Amino acid sequence: MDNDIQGEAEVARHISIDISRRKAFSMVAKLGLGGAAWAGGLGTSLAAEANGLPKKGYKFVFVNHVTSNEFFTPTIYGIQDACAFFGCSYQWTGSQTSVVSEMVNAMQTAIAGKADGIAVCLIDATAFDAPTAKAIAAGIPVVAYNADVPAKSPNKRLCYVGQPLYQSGYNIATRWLKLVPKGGHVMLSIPSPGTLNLQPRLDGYIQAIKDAGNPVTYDVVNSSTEQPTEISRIESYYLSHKDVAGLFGTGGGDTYACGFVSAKYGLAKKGVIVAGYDLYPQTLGYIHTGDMTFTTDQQPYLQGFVPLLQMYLYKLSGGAVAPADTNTSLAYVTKDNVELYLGKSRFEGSTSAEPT
Amino acid sequence: MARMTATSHGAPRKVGLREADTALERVLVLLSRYREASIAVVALVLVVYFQLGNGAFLSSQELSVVLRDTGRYGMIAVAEVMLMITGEIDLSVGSTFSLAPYIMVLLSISFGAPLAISAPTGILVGVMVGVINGIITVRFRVPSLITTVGTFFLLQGVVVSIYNSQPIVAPVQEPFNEIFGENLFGPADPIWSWHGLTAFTPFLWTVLAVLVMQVVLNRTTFGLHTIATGSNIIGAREIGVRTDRIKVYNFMIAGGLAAAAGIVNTTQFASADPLAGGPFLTLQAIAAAVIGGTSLLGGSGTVIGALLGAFVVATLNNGLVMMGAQATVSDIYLGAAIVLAMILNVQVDRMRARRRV
Repeated sequence: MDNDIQGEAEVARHISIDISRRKAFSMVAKLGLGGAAWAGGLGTSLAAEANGLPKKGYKFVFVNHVTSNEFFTPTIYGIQDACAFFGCSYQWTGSQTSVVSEMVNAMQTAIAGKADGIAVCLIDATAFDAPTAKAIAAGIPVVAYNADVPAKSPNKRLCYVGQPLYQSGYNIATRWLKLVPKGGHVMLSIPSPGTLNLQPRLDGYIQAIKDAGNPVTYDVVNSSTEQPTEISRIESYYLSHKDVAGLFGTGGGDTYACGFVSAKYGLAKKGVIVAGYDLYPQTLGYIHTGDMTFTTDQQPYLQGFVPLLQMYLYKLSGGAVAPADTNTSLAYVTKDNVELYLGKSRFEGSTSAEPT
Repeated sequence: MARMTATSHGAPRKVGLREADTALERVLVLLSRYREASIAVVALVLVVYFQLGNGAFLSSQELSVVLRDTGRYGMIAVAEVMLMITGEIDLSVGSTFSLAPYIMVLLSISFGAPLAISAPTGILVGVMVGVINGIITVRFRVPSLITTVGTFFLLQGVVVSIYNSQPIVAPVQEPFNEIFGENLFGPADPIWSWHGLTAFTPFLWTVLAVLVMQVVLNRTTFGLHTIATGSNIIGAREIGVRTDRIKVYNFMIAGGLAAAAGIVNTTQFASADPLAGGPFLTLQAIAAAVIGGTSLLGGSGTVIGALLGAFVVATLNNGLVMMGAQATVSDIYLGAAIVLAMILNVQVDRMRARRRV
């Protein structure tokens, strides 16, 4: 019996909610304060009858690997909006340059400071196991967001909110493999090889190539993390491999760089497939002008809003509302739907103004 | 070159430089005349290697990429050379590189200032950063390594907080953009044309900075005092050189040049990115200065060597990609190549020294 309950709890914990942000907001709007139900993965109308969740002064710590990266600006807005909703406060900390020890230290500090919850980007397969276990033992919920440990990891984080990285790489590659001519040669780029938030995407790309019927050949370029270097390396690659049939980034910066090179040499317009991740304003511009085939929105706003919501509910319910895995990435941005993204939006980070 | 003189035994003895006996020695004699020659040899070896490995390296489009990179690293490397000669270093240049164009773009967007006015303002901000670095270093006796690590983080924090880490799309105002970095060189354009020239503008601005600093360093009292400050600070003070002031001026030059490099970069991409500079850029520029022949201990340095060093770094950066170095191993090649270039440079330099009797 106990085993059954445990099994059900495991199932509930690992339920994957594939949900787009817009759908999520319309759902929340329909249900009033249906966030509770949404987090539980149930979506019943019971929550609509509630009088409203109390504002609590919980303090949540978000440990990030690139604290000043523009990608996470909407994430911070998501955290701020959820904090305003539930009366909580937050601290945004970690490392600027993916230094794992700095992030582990930030977790230790949060545990020592008796934070009410920790959301962390698990960019290393093992380094976060000990501080996560320590936090859980101290009654502090730990939620992974944006980057997660591998499937069979002993890490005790309660759930993962973000893109299933390997799967997203696999799905995106499957999408562009249909467009690349049979047997073509493509370039895959990665800004920092080996990091857990990027490497699985690349691994997904490569696995999809191996699984596909299309015998594509590829090179993997280390683009670096600095914008001018990313552009010059990808441009150098193109100039020395003019037969390239596709340029594919795994991060926001190198995806933008692929677009830049494509625009300069008119590559996409000549039939080269150019795709990648994230919604840098310039990337969206290249989609709009037809210099990039598509990019992927992994919905960074939800990566802030949902972990905070889940930690709040976990604390409020005394652990009865278990955080659930949430897949935030289903949206591809193409020339057909790019208009939706081009305006100023707090959800995309291009303005801090709240929507009216 | 060698003179003959009589010894007590009656046999003639050579003094001065030994005569070149073999072809190799004759080459070494030639190399020994110029301090920058050793790094020029390294650069040449790399160009030949990459051209043989991939025929596209010497194409005009690829040269444009490599020389634009050289321009970026070179401008900052030159800034470091002047400071390193005085025995100081500036690690905050990466942040100044990001901050100055941010200020420029914000002034233009928020107040409608033309880029021709907001760009000098951005450079002025870089110069002010130099003043702050200099004063903290010489007045408060904080080692410049620490001062500028501090200001590196401080300015990086300022840049990312100004606009919530978002890149700003920069205004394009011609002819400012074409003159200062925008690349109009398309695959179909002839190289000898205005569009062809714009392919190299960041590099040409850096060459201009190098020429100016070369004259300043070797032909002016300020240059002499800069070298004196780094080679013997007590002696320099005793003969009346205001060493503190010389150091502050060189910090200001470093800040100004880093800001100018950042502005050229932003003009090139029409985008101010808060993370355009960074520790990677700073380290590569310092590597360029050192492999170009500037001593980390102060007292000697060469701006032309720094430009050649920047070319070596840029060549490695892009040449390795052209050779198909896979992502996971490319940094191994880059690191090893920088160390090998340095070893070769030092060895040629030692041979040069040994040739003196």
